[in-house]
Amino acid sequence: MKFVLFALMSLLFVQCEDEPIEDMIVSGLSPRYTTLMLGQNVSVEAMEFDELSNFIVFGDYLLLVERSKGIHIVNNVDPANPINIVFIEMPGTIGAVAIDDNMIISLANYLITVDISDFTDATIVNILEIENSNQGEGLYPLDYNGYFECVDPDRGIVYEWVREDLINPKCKTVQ
Amino acid sequence: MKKSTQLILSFYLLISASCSSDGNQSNVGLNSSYSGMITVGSFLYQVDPSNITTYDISDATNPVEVNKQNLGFEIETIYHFGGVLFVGSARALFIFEIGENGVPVPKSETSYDTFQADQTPCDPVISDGSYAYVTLATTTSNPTNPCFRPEPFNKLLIYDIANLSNPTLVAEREMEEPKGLSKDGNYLFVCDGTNGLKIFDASDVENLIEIYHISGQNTRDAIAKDELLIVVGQSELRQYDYSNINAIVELGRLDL
Repeated sequence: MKFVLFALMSLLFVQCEDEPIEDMIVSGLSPRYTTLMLGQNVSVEAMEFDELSNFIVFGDYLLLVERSKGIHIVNNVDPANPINIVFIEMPGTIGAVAIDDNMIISLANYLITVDISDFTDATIVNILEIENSNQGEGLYPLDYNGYFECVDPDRGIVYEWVREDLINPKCKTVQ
Repeated sequence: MKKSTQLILSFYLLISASCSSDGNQSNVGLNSSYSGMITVGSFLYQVDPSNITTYDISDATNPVEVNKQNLGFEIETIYHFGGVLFVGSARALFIFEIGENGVPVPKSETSYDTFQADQTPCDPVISDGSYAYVTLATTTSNPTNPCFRPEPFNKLLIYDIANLSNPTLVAEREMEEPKGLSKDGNYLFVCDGTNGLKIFDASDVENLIEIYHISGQNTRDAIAKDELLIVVGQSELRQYDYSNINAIVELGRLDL
């Protein structure tokens, strides 16, 4: 798969010829990165809901999925008084399931297992890269024709592309 | 029919056996209808825009992919009932029976195109084992919305699934902006976007009776279980006690 992607990239990319004399500023797509590491604590303070997409009833808790941001954890022991207790911050979140002490979260081309035995200390315990997934934006923006900021894999996993002004972009998709 | 009942029964036995093998019942999350991934026993089923993928999650800290099947495109949601998987997509309702090894066995693909030639609305699907309930919704106002279509198409469709290989449409009902849905006993709960949530008596699916309309909330998805109705909207959560369906009580809300 990686070889295919690499081969595809070499077809898609047009490299810069010479260093430009003046900066070229063009509108294009810039990657947003997230970093995921084993042992990483992903619990942060409870935060406001924005656009909830779906949710999970998990014992006395409600896990509210906020697509592309993460998962709100609500203590629902008393449904008359639900309490927003913590946010599992996972930029790029698409969906999740919960079973016993773990939550499995889909994010770009990955399945991330998070130990939630203590919601306030949720920790990444496994990172599985999915081959042939159609969810990731990977190394270049899909269904896009134009300039983009080249991906730097050292900065993490690309979970979305945002349009902004780019200065001397060195990558371009040609369809 | 008898054969499918046996299959479902044996599947349940399989699951209950696996649950009790270590003496502890698993605490498993119940996903709402817009979910793109669910667990059934020791398997995780995930849909991405093109595929349904099965993972063995006997050890949740080490999911192992065991099967992947391409379903085309615009695949959106997945739901489970009694050993049967229901996949909602913009174009069709897919039904799978879970095989002994956890791998989904395709039973049918029912195209919505019969009803709307060039529309591909957004939709989730749920089931109660006898029927599949599908909502199809479009938005005509916001071109950047993935559900944007030039012509409105907003309906609740109900399929008889006695024969999983050949679901038959038995009822359809116009809605305003139908989204997530849930079923408990004879009651069907349907989020209707800015139009709130509607509760139907679905004792006779061909003659749904609207018995309650909760307005004032932009609703997205709902779960009704054990007399507790949980409704999630754009920026808030509301809960209702429906133990007396004729006197539904709002318990509380969380809006930040």
